[in-house]
Amino acid sequence: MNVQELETAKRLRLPFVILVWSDGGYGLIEMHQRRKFGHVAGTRFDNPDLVGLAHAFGVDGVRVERAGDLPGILAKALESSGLVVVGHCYRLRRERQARHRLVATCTGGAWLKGAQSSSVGGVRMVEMLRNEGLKRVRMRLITAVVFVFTLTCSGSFGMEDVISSSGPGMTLLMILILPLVWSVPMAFVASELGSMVPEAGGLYRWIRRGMGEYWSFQAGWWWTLSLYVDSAVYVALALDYIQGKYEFSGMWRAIIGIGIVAVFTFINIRGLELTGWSLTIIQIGVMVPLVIFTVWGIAAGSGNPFTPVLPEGESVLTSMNLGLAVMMWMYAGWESISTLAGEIENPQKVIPRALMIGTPLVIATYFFSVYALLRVGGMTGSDTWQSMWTGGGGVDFVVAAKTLGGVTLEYLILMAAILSNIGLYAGYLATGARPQFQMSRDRLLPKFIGKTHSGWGTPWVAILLMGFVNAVLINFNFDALITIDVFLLMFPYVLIFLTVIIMRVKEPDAPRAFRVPMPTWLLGVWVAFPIAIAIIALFVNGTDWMIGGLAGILTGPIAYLVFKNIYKGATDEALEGSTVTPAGELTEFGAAVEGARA
Amino acid sequence: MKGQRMANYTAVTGILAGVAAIAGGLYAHSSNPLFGIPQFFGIYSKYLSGVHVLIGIGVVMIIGGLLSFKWPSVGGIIVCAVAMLGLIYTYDRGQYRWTPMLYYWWGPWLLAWIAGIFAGYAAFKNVPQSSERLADARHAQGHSA
Repeated sequence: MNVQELETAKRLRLPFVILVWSDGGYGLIEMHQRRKFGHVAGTRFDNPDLVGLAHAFGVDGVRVERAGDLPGILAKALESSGLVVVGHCYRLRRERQARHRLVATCTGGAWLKGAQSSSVGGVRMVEMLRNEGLKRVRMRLITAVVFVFTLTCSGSFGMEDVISSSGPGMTLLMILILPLVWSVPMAFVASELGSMVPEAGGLYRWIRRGMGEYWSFQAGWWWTLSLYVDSAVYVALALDYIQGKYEFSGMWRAIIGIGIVAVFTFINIRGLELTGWSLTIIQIGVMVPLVIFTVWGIAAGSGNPFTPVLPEGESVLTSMNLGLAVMMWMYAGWESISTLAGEIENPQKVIPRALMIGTPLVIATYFFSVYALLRVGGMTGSDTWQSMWTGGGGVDFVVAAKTLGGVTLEYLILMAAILSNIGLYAGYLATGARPQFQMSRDRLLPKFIGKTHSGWGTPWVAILLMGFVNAVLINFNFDALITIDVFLLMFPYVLIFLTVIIMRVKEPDAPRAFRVPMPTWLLGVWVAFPIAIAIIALFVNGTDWMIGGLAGILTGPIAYLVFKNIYKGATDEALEGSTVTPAGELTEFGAAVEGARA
Repeated sequence: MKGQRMANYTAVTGILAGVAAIAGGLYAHSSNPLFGIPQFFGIYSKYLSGVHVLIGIGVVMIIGGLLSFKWPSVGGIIVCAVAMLGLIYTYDRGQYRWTPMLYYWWGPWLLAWIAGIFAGYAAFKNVPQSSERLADARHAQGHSA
């Protein structure tokens, strides 16, 4: 916050606007003095001519005389290409309305709180430089848990397909066992890497630090492509549920679909706070009916859900193969919340905690709801499980709810299923947009994708782009595109697991707020399981998936070669958080930080 | 050129990918001459069959591989792009979405992918990275710098 920062900013040609909010004193200290001593001493000051001071440093300075002048002056200042000091805003302090407008306008920039005040200004400057326009929100743990729950579970709809493929007993066993070798390792690894590299873009940035620019681009590219398709699937599934109950034309389907996309695109652009609130409401709408169904189903249903363990004539391996792909899908998404790290305060603490709470919550939700579904299935016959699948003609949660509780429960569960898919869409829209945003900031994708909203501090172009593609996709038959999903998702997963081991070896002493409580060799053994499962998944999904996926994978090298040659990429030293080069010299960012700290 | 070694690797694997594609095409011709419906948007020609597509892309891959010695990015894009397009073209032949297709395709695909990786590493070494990420902050915030 010191005035010397002007020299640093000028020398580095940092193009931002400084608002000097001069209240002529140490206001906070005054408050404490009054409380403690009943009077104040030595806290009032005169100011120099701040505009003249700005000129002395060779930067522009403008004086604001009236509140009404501020919007115009600020607009001009923001349009200029150099450093601007807007001085003497103290008269605005008492004008609450103007002050709110002022703060809102400045959210995407940086400011100094006062020429003689505290160090808030310098910290702010560093923070804003580091975050480059992304607004950090204070996310409560419960909201973070809701995010994790939404991205990994959002109800149990879809498990029906596993039951008829793998058998009731095997389904329940897989719900309990698969997490140990699939989702729990990912949750732990995501916690460790997320606490070590708590930056926007999450997995993309982890892999960059561990494996370099090429592989991080591949992971970010494949993951983003996958989510472009994947998120559209959830809107289509929500529409399928609605259309299963109410007949309407394709035009209305398109209108409703685009409406859902538009609403949640706006909510996401508006910010993580609103997205968090909307996901919380959605998950209440999902879980209340599901809990009612589960408790009622377990109490009123009949039969032993663990029998038969396998479908007749199937071996353990063949039965597992059939349901494994769906089950892996149901247990995926643990890495997703990490992409929001750049917009959450204390992500290195909040995200691991949320993952640790979310993991047992998701397992319990799947287990007990499927247990209840099988008990309800037992009410109509011991072989009802063979007819359990989602879509037309199958016994899914909605049909079972009607058997259990009549039309009322049927509609409640139908609403839950629709909300579940909408929640997944909203969650994946939020997380899917961030890696491409960060890749743009790292000069590996077109610059416009890296824009942030000046008021709301969100990557609005990346979100809008994803929403637009989703709105187009839901109006076409994109079955062929879905086939590339598993491949495009599994490859980044393998890279994430490799990264955690590489980071343990490369940077064993780097600070990690969360560390998987096991030595590196044991961690290597543990993550070998999900890597093996990911590779197996590539083969068990069928050749449709495999051939589509092989083609999808090749888009990664092509895209890298094209964008690398156009946009060049950014050096590691230029990335946020790196203040010195490997040779020990100060980077531009480091110089800015030093200037701000001075 | 800093990444010449990587460029050489790109070239070699690109040429090998082309050879593998031609070999795959010849193998398909001997084991299943009717592989791939020989039509595209209503045009019927034996040169549009899965067999001929494999051989055709093999030739283009070899050209891409040779170009990689001098221009690894261009060569890498050619090798990967023709492999991708050929795969999609053959995949989209309806009844040929079955495992035997992979018998003919796994070699060209894997080698093309590896060529793309080498080309990427060559590009990483050859294209100087920008150190001006911070200068984008204003642009990225939506202000007209």
